[in-house]
Amino acid sequence: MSDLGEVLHDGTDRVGGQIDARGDSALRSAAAWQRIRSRRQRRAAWYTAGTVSAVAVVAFVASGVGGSVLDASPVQPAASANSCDRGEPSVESAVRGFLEAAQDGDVDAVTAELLVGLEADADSVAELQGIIGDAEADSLRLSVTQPTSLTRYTVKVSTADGDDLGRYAVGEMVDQHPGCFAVEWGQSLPSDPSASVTPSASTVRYPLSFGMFEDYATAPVAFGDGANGGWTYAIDLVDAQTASITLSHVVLTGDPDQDAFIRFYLVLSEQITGSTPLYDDDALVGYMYPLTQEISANRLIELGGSEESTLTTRFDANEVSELAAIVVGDAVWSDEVDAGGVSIGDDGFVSYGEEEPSPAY
Amino acid sequence: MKDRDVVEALYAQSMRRLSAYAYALVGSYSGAEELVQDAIVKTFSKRRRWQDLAAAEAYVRATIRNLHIDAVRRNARWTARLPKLARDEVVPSPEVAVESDEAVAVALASLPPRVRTAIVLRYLDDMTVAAVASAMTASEGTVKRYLSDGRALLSQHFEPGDDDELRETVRVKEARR
Repeated sequence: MSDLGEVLHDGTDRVGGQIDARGDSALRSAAAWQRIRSRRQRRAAWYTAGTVSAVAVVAFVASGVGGSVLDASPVQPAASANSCDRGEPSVESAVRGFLEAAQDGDVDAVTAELLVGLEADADSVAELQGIIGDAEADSLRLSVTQPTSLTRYTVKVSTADGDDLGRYAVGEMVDQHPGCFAVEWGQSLPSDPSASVTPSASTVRYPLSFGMFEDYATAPVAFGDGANGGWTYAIDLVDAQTASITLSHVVLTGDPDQDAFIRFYLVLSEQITGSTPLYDDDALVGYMYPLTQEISANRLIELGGSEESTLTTRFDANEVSELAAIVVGDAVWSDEVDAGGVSIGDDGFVSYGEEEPSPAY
Repeated sequence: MKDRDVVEALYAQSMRRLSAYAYALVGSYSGAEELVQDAIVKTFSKRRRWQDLAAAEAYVRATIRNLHIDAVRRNARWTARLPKLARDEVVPSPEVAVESDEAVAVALASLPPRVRTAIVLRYLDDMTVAAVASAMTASEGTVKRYLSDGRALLSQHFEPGDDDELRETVRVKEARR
């Protein structure tokens, strides 16, 4: 560490000590844990939302000796900054960008913050400008409420004084700009074939997260061949009873002798034969139904593929009358999957079947 | 050890270090406390497995850094587009001087957020200029300017010492002539 670094370290260390001494660690810990539990429960609620219908969920479970990992992030807020050609990488930033543009009275900029297929007009922007006025920018409070679907959010905006500046619907442009969010507002363009706000009724595409094994040198399964690439998987609800899942490119690099495999699950809102309860902490969030058997590299070859191939699997829900009606949530993927597929994690998600065993510590 | 136990251990054993780091970034006591809690909440909202407490602390520390950088970037973007509503970036806290009586604390609090962030990442985290630039989504030249400005401001409070960064900045300026 440089001389300046040491000076800063010593100075801030003393400040840290003062901050540490100001509070009771047990009380602080309890307060933090309360927030953590609240967030976990709120996330769990997303997955049990009964309003979700045509959105499918697949849970990948990877397994192998020493534990294994699979981390395929779903489309959720907080994508990397500046990654969107249109819209914004998070729900909140979408609303902020929209309000900023409206406050500037910039019609084109407002349109750029709208979902594909929508456009602003000068009169409407002027009207909105009047509503927002010169509200203190830093004081605006954005409150994202539970989504009505996995790609739609409602954001309440108010001032520090409590003045309501409106509620704004935000959607993710899954088809056109996956991972990017924009506001539903303005007028529909009449002839834009890609104007759909939500995923085409039966298809959801998720980007696979890479670098997911970087902390797990022994991870037996990998997708793709590195930390790059816009890999996606698509879930199609072909009809009321059939789901089809396609990964554009799969590389199974695990050691078959260690029983490395992947497995696909649908997460359902109703228990059916063969499904297993799925818990987030103590909250039941759905039921995991295995779409496939364990697929190892060898099995993939047996199925006619290779270690590197496109993988498509179909789920015929013979005993389910209305598959689309009970498929819930997006799965936010695991970075911790126990051998045998005991847990699936995401931001707050999920233990599966039984309480998660204590990590080695 | 369950997540709850890890959180308790962090508060009991790591709070001093985490608070120090957060303070270096935000320049205020209350801001540092909030930032640490936000980072812990964010970290543990997701179930994770930790090799040991040090691993959890390192993760929280990284989360502190990311949350802070996001906040600085967000505020900068917002205020840049609404200059009439923008607040002053530099808001030295007299509270800090009274409470801490520390030259370093006062000096850090006096730095603009982006400058302070660059200083902390470069000198406390020992990140390269390129890495700081990447983390802050800024050019290396901008980061060098932040570092130069920060060192100049810090030198009003104490002698920051010699460093390659200053010489490098001088060389760049000379080369442009």
